[in-house]
Amino acid sequence: MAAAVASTVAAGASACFFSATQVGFWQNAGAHRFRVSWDVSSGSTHEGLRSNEADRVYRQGNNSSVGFSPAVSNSPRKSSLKVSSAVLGNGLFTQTKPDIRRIIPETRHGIPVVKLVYVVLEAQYQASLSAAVRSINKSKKDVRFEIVGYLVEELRDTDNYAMFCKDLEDANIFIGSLIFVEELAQKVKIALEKERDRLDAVLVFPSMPEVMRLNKLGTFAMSQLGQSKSAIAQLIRRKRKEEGGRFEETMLKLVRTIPKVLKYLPTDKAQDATRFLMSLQYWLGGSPDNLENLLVMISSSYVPSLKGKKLEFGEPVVFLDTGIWHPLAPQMFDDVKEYLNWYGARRDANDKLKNPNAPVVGLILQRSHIVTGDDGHYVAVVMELEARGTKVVPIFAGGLDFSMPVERFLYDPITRKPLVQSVVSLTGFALVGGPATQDHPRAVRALQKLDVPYIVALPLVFQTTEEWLKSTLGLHPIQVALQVALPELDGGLEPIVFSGRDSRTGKSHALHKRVEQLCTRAINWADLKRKSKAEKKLAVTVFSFPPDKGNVGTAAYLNVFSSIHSVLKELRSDGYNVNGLPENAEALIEEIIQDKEAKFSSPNLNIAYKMNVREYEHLTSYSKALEESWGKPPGNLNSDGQNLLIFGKQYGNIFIGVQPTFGYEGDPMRLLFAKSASPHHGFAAYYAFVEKIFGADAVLHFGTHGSLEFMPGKQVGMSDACYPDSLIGHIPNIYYYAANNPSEATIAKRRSYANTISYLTPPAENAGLYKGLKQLSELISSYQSLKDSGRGPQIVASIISTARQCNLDKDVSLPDEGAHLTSEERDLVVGKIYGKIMEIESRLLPCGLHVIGEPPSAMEAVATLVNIAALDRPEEGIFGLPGILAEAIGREIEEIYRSSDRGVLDDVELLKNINDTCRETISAFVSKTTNKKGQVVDVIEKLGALFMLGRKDPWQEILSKSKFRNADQEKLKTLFDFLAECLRLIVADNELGSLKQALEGKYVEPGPGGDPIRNPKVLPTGKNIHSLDPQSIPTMAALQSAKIVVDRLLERQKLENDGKYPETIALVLWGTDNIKTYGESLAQVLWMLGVKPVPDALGRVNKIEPVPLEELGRPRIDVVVNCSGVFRDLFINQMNLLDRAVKLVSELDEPLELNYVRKHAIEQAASLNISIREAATRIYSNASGSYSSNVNLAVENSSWNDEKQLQDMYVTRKSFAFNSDTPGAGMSERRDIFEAALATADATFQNLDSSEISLTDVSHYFDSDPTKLVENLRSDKKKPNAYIADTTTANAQVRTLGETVRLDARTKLLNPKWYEGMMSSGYEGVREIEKRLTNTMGWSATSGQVDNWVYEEANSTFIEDEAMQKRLLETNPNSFRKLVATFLEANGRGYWETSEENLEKLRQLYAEVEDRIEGVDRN
Amino acid sequence: MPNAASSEKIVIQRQCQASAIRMSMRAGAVSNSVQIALESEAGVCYELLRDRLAAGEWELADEETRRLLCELAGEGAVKRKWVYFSEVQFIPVADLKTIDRLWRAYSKNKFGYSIQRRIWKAVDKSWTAFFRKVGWTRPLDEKNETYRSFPLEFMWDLADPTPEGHLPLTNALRGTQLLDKILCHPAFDDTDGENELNLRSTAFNLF
Repeated sequence: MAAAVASTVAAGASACFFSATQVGFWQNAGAHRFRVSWDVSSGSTHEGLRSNEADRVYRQGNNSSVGFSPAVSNSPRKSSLKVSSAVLGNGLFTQTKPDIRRIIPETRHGIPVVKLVYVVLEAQYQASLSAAVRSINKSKKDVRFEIVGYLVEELRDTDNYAMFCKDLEDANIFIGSLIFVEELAQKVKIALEKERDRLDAVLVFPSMPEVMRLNKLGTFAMSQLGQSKSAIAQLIRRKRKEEGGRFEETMLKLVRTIPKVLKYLPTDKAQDATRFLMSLQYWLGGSPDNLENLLVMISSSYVPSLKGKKLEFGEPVVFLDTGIWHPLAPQMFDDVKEYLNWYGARRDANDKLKNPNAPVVGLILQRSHIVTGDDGHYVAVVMELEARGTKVVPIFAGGLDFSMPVERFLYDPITRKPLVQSVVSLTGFALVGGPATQDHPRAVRALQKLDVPYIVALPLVFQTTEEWLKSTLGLHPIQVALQVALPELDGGLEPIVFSGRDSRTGKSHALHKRVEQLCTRAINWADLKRKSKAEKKLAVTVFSFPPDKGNVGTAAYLNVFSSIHSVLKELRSDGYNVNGLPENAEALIEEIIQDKEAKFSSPNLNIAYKMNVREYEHLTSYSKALEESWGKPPGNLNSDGQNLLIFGKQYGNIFIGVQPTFGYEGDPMRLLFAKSASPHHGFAAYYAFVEKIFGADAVLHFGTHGSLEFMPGKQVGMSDACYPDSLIGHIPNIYYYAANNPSEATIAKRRSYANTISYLTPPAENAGLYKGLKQLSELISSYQSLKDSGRGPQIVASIISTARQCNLDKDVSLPDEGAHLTSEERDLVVGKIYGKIMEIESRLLPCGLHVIGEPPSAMEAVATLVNIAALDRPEEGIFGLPGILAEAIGREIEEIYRSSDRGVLDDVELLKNINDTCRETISAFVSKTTNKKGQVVDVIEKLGALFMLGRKDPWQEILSKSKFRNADQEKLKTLFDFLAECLRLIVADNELGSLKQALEGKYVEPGPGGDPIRNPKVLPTGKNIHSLDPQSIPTMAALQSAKIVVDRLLERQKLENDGKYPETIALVLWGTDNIKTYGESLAQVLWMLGVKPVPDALGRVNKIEPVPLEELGRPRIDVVVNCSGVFRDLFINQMNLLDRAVKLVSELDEPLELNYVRKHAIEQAASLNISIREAATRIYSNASGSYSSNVNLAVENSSWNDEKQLQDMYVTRKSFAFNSDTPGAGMSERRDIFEAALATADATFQNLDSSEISLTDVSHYFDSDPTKLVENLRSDKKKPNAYIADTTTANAQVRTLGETVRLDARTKLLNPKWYEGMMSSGYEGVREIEKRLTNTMGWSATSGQVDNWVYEEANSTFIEDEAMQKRLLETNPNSFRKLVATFLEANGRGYWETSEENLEKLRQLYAEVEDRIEGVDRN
Repeated sequence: MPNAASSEKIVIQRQCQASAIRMSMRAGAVSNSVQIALESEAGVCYELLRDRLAAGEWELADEETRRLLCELAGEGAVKRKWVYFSEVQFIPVADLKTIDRLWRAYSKNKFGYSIQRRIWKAVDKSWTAFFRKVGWTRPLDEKNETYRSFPLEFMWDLADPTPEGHLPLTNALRGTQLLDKILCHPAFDDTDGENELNLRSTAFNLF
């Protein structure tokens, strides 16, 4: 212990100037350097251990001695630099040791020593408590204090925890605060319960209820309080009953009213309770003086050895609860006017700061940092802003409701207008509420009123500076959940880490470059509010994926150039300088894509600027770092060999630029790297140009999505060395993002600081029927009317042969031609075909591309509304229309779905009837509520008027004529009220409005992203998209849905696999999918394993427990989970949960034939010579900062040699595992186990979550498909079955991959309704068609599940049809060339067999189009 | 010494009691033949700083420098124990020059604000690069650097490998604005070219 004391003394004695460190060097006066190194060897202590505990505590990977006793070695300085991939220290998030907080007093005979142990989240208390104890030990004669403190996060470490338990054994007093991490709260509770009776006093300030209940001061205890009749107790008890999460909020409220309460508490009777409340006041007062008095009060009252000694202590010094603080001011201010007076009279202020027109930034601070004196990081921000000529109004609150001080202090006292032009919260917390509960609506109201950009920056809380710097994950996942995800729900922007934490003193300190970044960005946002529209410069950035001329301006669902044109026209009329904007979108495309002068064949884009290398290096401070991947500038990307080229064109103050691409998408060697390369010089030059040469006030990234936010760097919480941060620089970033993609939008928000503005996906329509399918449908209806006549068999024969022509034989088993069928058999086969036809017909597809500023007309919204109406929403008391109709005829809709799926003709017909009726009623409803132009006019009012007049509801007219006339009126009314509101939102147009708001430096209302059908709250678009509280998923409802899908999947697999359960399923987890469904696919994994999630007292999901085998009724299925890089970034806690679930199941003592996880883990442990627990590694993703398997890039760019190469890419990129035993280590490569686990897979599986993104719409789905890879890895080389779950409709389906690809081809690529819709968007439409074909070929490459006829039909649709072929060629020759090339490639790679004639024609076309393109260029 | 006596109007040269302890006798001390005028417009005494520097007590000298800065910046700074960046303007040119001269003289032109200013300007005023140059940060891994821990990780030594400009330290806990204002103080306006020439000759005098 002596060493520990020594180090404590040293730490205590030094004022911290620079952050201390754990790992690194220190130097004495001599020349020798010593390295303090962490023992990286894994002296694993847990091998062979087994545990059936439901919720295992984290175990550390190695074992070092208790206390701070680093190994000292003489390794030279350089060697310590190589630490990137090794698991550091204990593999946890923090390596700090509590011993640095230990103070042991010099003991003297006769003077009692009181031992205090504390556990806090807030490191800012550390210095204050140490100071208090030192002061007591120095000044008090009668007592000495021994103190040791633990930061909550440190208790994960088993050694620390053991020391904590040991420390409690002889402690007198325990203090805890903000213990909100469930698993750690449990650890505290267990340790504390053992010692509670013996301890003299236990003080637990706001924390999880189970820890708070352990409070004890004499007779005062929280559990007792619960039964007493005092008003406080009643309040707490009632609140707790209402909502577990409100508990600590109540406590905080209580503290605020303490002074009043104290007066009414008779001290003699309720002395203990009074002392508790006073303790809280001292604690929240936080200063060393207050804490000293707290310790003296408690110890003199409750520590027996101090009995009879009279120890003096002062009253709590009460600070303002909320107010304004400035480091120079002599006191805190309770009044804006006083503050402004003081500010105006400052002698130190220069002219710039005194200028009445200087920008003003509001800062939101936590009082505890101020009162504890841990305010260095706040001071840094205040100084940085003032030094830049910006005034500040730094407000604070003691509780966790900052909306109140915002209302009170950020408005001009006289004009009542907002005083500030932007606001930066330095707390990291949501505006209202702390770690446990939030009130987002209230926050949004307050911020909407203030109407300025709202930035929420982050101090490091759970990590020290060095730990954060070294972490590839970046910010600690719990902090991401609490302080990034939750503030986003308030509309918070730019989660910039601005301060670090000193490992020794716990104090916060500025990170100089981060502070500069934060402050400059805050000022630039504020400037948007101050500058005139005419002078504002905007850089519109479009994308080009894959890098081909035909793809410039690509964005999901968006007609980019038409949208830009529409936006710029609007801006022009609003007063922006858009000089020279061409007449129409086509001309705009022409000007940007065709370079009139340049001779560089490949990009052929207009060159806006040539940047020479010297200038580039001068403007781009990080250019040296790019040389590792790309060599010396200028390189050969976006370069003419001498200069770096910026592509785009300027119109007045608007620059439209083309974002360079990754640059390695065509290079199979680079695609094979596990980690993605840095941006290339051309990429960096683009952003340097935008910021420093063009001088943009804001950049507008146009549509979903570009590559900036996917550049390497930490997952969340960028440092100076992270590329997205360096690239975006100081420019405010506004980003149009598809409303249905909240996950990637969130990546853009967190990594590139985007204010994401949602846009609507194009209006959906039912796919409808065409050609042979239409014929089939007609035949079926004639069968129904004539089946009992003698013509039945004949019609069935034509139905069957037509079905065959339509290639339906793979979807429905068709009897041989001429086979004799009974009438039942005939009904069944017709029923099945009919079901398939209906499935195709009713499938929703987005038609055409969306144009910003052009909302759908009401009638275009019908199909979407029909689907909204199909879902039950029990939580809102809304019943789905199909269900209501079924009920009207005494049936249950679920039962009709099932029997229709089986092909029971009558029910197929009934279901069609129900669907048709739904469409009719909703069409009628919509047409009644729209005006002649097809626009909705005040739906609600109009409907209200209808009711008043007593006329029939529009839907009633339809229903009364149908067999559903008895439908429940009450339910219908509720449903249609809801639909009316949805309709109003769908057609509302806020997309342009929100952009203008953002450009004017106003607040953009936040809203969830997702699927408007599942969650109409997504509407209206034009909101700042956010995702959800990551700790809230999976919900119980999601678990219910997941069970259904998993059961159907297992059923289906058994059917196709001789009744055997799959032993392993390889599946994919998507970010967006889990956001939209609140964690359904996450819950699917748990249910396959036979594990269920258990929410904690605050409703957060972070525990799991096994479902007993008897209850499960089947074996536990093994899984190999491939998490998308986006899922990894958003849901690292859930990866942790899943890994714990897998490890838990692998260690259950169960028969191997009923626990495949254990079975495989044992086998793998033996063959790989590792522990079972280690072998049970199933949760994979990319390396941190890397995304995707690159298979998509390879396929899109046709830059792959063979399938083996694609599979290599997949394995190399995707074999990074998350290990819950060493969560702090982030993702680590476990290729061996990954391959071994994949080799056991019998099935592969993915989810489709919304109608507008299906298998061939995006390249992501095939990018993550391992079907052929598994086939290759399996020892029997058997191809696994591949399945796709489709939960886009009320009747969830599990289909084979082949079925789904066919369905997709029929409803999209081959469907005239779809491709004509695309063609109407012109240039971009052709690209969309080409993309579908390329993605289809991607499926051939990864799964082999594409039928020949799909290519054949595509060829006859787009190539054989002369007229069509000409149209494609004319509209977008580059994309057409790619289309032709893809056909040839599909044939060349053996995915499509066709006639030589077809091929010859394609070759000829290719040559022609090449000439044509070159000809065009030559002109 | 250049610019010393001529330009300043009021030069208070206060004799401090503490000056009884001279620098000369200490082990490791630099020769006492150096004569630096302890000019002060603010009426501040620099003898302690001089003695510490002369004695090669770099850590104590560094501490004294920060104390002096507070004293020069005003009452608020003294009470607060740190200087707010905008208070630097209150520091008289003569005083800051004296501090800088002392550091330079006793460190053979290795330490001092004007030295730091030159380094800072040479790296285009990039703080990150500056910190690296003067050794206030150290490499953490391939990509990152971190601040050195005070006081253990700093180099209280004139000899190599202590980098040029390593001392005096200015707190980065509260960002870089304070140092920015010190280095931009008019006291150093004329030192940019002079560091190289004149001070080298001063250094020459030391031996």
